[in-house]
Amino acid sequence: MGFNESALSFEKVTFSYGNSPVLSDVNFSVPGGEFLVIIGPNGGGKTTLLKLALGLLAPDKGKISIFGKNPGEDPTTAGYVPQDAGLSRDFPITALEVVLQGRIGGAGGGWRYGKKDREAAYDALESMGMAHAANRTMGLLSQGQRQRVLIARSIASAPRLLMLDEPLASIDAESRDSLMAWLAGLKGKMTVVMVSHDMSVISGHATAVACVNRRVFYHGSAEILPEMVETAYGSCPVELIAHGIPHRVLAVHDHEHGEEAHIHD
Amino acid sequence: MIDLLQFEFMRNALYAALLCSALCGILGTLVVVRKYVILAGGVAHAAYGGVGLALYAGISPRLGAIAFSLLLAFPMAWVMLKKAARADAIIGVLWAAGMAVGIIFADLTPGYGSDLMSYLFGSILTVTGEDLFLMTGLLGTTLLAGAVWHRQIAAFSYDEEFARTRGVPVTFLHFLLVILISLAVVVIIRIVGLILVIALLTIPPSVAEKFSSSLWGMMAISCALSAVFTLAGLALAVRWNLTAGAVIILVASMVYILSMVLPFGKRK
Repeated sequence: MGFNESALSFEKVTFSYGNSPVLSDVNFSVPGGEFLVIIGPNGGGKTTLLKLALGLLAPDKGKISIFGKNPGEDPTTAGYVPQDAGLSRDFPITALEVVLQGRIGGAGGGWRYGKKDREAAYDALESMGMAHAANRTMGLLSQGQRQRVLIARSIASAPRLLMLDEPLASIDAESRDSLMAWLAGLKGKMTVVMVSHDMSVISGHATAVACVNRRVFYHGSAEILPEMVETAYGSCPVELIAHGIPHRVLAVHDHEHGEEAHIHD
Repeated sequence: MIDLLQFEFMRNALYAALLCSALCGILGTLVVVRKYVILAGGVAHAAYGGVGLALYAGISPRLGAIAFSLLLAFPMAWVMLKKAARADAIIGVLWAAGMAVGIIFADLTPGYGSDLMSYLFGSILTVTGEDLFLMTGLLGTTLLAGAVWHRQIAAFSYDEEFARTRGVPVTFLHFLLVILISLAVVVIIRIVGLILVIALLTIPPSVAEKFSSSLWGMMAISCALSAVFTLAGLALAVRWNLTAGAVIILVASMVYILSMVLPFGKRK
């Protein structure tokens, strides 16, 4: 993980779904080793940003690169942790089998998972504190446990960049703290980009913050500048507790909705 | 029942039941977990259009059913893959249009008679060697595809987007499965007819899912359940001279309802 090397960069990226623009003129660069938290209102383009970075969507204009390569070009570079809500709980699969899926597309190849794949999968489960549940069915695990298995699936391929989409959504407070503690263990091993609607996570773990609301406001330290929030969220009152500005609560403005805020999914 | 096996039509019926059970167990499991149920229904009814066209043109109804089902399966598979808004409505339109084509061309063809009825309700007792050959070939192809891509199929069935990020050829596998499922639907129509084929594809996996902790386990249990349903249905139909397809589905439905009501399985 070289210093100064850019893990993820967006240059003049624009994207729209049909006629509705989602992101416009997005420019930022995340240096290797950062723990970036992406915040922003619903419908502001957070998930779209991740899908562009993963190559699941293609930008209308602009260039995106991951460690100098195009998104999706090299499956071993980026690991993806989708929102758990999109996955069926009835699907018959054990935690170990889910994590093994992270090994597809790697150096292994072949017709079946080999010994190395199994070892890597167990190690990944271990690093998320889920090795004990390797042979349990996914649908029977708690939401927080399932989320940890999905993270293990991504890190089983030892990605250089891990991208998580709302891993804290619909998890209770206790599991959330434990999940953040496990995620913090990844710092120094890989670059982490995490989308979250919950700004309190910034205080403990983030080294950089970006606000996304059609445009992206990137800040290379774990501080949320009042201007960022002002611009990203319009003039809604937002409570902020961030590193550097502990327990700071932004002034509550008159409740005028900004034009770009509150574009819901 | 046993002494009936000296007749060729009865042996053929038995082989057909077993081959279709294997196809239903394997491909039906994928129909259920990949949510292809409406697609399978669309293909089944589109097959009727092919039968009507083939009768009118004077070619083999089976060939017509296969060609026309595949023709309509592609746009259906495309709208599903692209997650088009109202994908289910588009499939519904193709479903009905295919059926309508079949009815109209059957009208235009004099003296089609019982042939069309056998596509609606199936006729396991008139299965031919050619049918068995097709079923065997399809099962072999399915098993081969499964052997080569089982990891990728499991990954994209569970989480399509993640699979894409791992370089799994999602589009290719989606169309491959749709083709295999369409062909399976056409051959299974021979057994239970196009109206009941969805039931035979979905009931065994739906019961099996409650007891499975892997996709492969679900397939194995589904195959076994399908075999029990089709053989029991066949035996009861022969005993009381009823339509075999309907009896098979009724047996399957009763087991399905029992499995929903009784507190078995991994959920409790």
